[in-house]
Amino acid sequence: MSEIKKISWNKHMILLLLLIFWTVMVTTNPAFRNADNLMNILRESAFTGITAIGMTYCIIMGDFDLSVGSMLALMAVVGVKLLNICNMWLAFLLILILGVICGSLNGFIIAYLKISAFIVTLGTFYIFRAVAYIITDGKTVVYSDKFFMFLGNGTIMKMPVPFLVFVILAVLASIVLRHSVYGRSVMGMGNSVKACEISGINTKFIKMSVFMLAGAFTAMSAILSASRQASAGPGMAANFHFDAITMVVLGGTSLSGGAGSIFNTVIAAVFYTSMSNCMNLYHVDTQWQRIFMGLVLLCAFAMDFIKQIGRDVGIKN
Amino acid sequence: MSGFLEIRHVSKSFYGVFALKDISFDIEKGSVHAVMGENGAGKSTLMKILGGVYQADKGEIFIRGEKQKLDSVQDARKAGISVIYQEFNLIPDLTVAENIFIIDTPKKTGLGLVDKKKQNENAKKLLESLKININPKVLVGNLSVSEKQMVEIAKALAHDSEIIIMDEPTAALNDDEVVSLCQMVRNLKEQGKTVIYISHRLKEVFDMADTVTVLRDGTYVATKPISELTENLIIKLMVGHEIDGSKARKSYVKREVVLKVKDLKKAGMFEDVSFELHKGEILGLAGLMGCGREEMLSALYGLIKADSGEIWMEGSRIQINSVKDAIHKGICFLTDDRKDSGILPLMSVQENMTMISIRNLRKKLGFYLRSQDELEQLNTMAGVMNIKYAEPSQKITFLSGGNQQKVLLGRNLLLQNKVFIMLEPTRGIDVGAKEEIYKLLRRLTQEGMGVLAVFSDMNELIQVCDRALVFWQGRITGEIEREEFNKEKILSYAAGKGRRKSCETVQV
Repeated sequence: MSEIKKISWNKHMILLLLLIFWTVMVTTNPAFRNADNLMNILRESAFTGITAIGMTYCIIMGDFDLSVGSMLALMAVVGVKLLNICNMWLAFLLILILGVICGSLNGFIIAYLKISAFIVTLGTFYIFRAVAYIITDGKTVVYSDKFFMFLGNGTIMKMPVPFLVFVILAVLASIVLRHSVYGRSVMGMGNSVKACEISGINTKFIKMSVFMLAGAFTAMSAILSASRQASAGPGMAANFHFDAITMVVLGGTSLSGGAGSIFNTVIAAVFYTSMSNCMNLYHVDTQWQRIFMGLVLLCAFAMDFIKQIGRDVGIKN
Repeated sequence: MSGFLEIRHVSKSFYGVFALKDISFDIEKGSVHAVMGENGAGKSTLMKILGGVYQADKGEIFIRGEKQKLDSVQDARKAGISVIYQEFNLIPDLTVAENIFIIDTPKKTGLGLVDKKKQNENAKKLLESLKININPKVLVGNLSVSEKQMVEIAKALAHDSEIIIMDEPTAALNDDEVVSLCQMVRNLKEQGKTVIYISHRLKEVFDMADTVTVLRDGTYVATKPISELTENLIIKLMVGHEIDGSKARKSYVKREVVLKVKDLKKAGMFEDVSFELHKGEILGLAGLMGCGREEMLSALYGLIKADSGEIWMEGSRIQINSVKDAIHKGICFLTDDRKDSGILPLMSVQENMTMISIRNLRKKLGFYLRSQDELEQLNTMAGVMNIKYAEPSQKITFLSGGNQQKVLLGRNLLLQNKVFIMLEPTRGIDVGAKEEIYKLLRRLTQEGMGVLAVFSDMNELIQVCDRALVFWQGRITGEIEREEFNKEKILSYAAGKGRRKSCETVQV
């Protein structure tokens, strides 16, 4: 009994929500409880979820990255083009490097030129997307190698490959966040940049590196998304940044930074995807889906805000 | 003869602590009245009550015999009181004229649009009448500090205030600027305005004031015409009883020099700073706000980069270009702003404790930080310093101020350093924790650590330190050995006594 009590439901609110939601849906909707559908939810959660891992780092640090969707489109189209001309693994490596470069562009301007992340990533949000259109002439590019398509569509031991990648990356990211000097520094930055400076942390470099990390995670999302469709178009992933940020905030990571959990982001990614899956099952109109998701985001922000007030009161006392 | 402005039995307390206790005195019309006292004597609180920012708990204020109700800044302005605070309330992106008339903006009839022409003309007239040579169309952001001060004064006078309160107006000014401020105050007096002038600086007070009121620890001490006072007399009134620091504690100062600083300079902050710190010594750095000591210490710790100068650690010259350098060379640092730049509020006691030392842990243990190793460090320090917490994963914000401070000290002591820079190590903590921190200081010095400490409470400095350096305008103006410690001496060095050009002599 005491063991159960030890799980703080306040910390794992999103897990509770997911369990309730799944219990209700599984018992009431036969289409939902279909094994294929459940596997599909896990698969779909990975594409945005992987980027949400990088976003969790950003938000823990007190910043966020609006450019991830455009970055994903850019890297997906460049990636598919590369796949058509060179070795697959080399192409993957190059996309990963491109992700890090895009991220470091954001990070450099934010950390060293001291411009707010909102402005900078809003700028690159347009730039990356435009470059993707220029490169492709606005057309969709295709690559349908069998192994490549397996990454996005296949399963290993009945589990969807993207979800496995998602879980492995999440475990790694979580260990780095909790148990490495680097992760501790990122967490510290969200608490107090000044205190980190006094502790001898190279705060500018840490800030830039987190955006590089966000770029790298987005690159992996890009590879898997392109593989899923066996193609990439410059207009893809239009609401991607919105979905990723919503997942992180639903996972309880505070927008003002300083605390958060990768595990909860993973749960939130599954929860968010389950909701949109369920709305599709009930044939909810796309626009109404957007309204609903917007409300979910607002609720998540409001909860963050309420927690914030509670925290301030706690600090004062 | 009853005064023009009468303050009667004014008391004010914050959270049960008295800031002002039953203050009563009179201020004559058309006089320059200086209010003096140490940090925390209650000067600013009293001025904020007159300015309507704070409301007195008890007591009354009369102007021309009429009782005043000063519930807000607007009330105070209506009563003819304008306050010029230490921190400027000007908007840098507006012009001088716009700033001056930010409240009673001249409007064109009908539409309510701003009459810019009239605004500029009025501002020009006002500035001319005050003999201030500033173009009203210039943006305030482009002005020098003293010019901003002048604009603040003009702004105060734009509302036809009878009483002008200046809260340490010279804190940020250089000598020449002080001279023009002196002139300004005299002009105001000629126009029949009443000026209440707050300052630590004795010279200015003797140059300008007609009457001096001294406050100490929130109580009224005396009001005397300047002709009856001398510098030493004022300092005596401000300090009150003498404190004999020499017998308070044993000293562990050794002969070896641990840190030597030579000609350290940072333009606009400090210059010509040279001193030696011995092993086992607690060297106190005294001075008023803005005297450059914090900046100098920040440079020693690599938070800002000095322009020139040498730093020697145990006989060998070292370069400090970053905080990391300083930590590697054996210097550690305790911030004076625990909430803002000390604790990591959302992180655990354990994580807070090991924030710096994990960078050393990693060398031994590889990438993965094991919780047991961190816990061991926490336990060591918790034992040394008697830190009280519920569990290692408890958030640090739930600890008392004293325990938080101990965690911050422990964070540095895990590094086994040679020199410890401490800004206000006992700020905002209770008496018991203070005693424990003193005890810790003794133990550290016994082991040979050199400490550079800043205390704004002079009694504390006298009680704790072995030697004191006094800073004034970025330079060391005095060095005082423990045996010769007394407040008057420190205060007079800190006020730049004897070194400052007086208003009268510079005036042409």
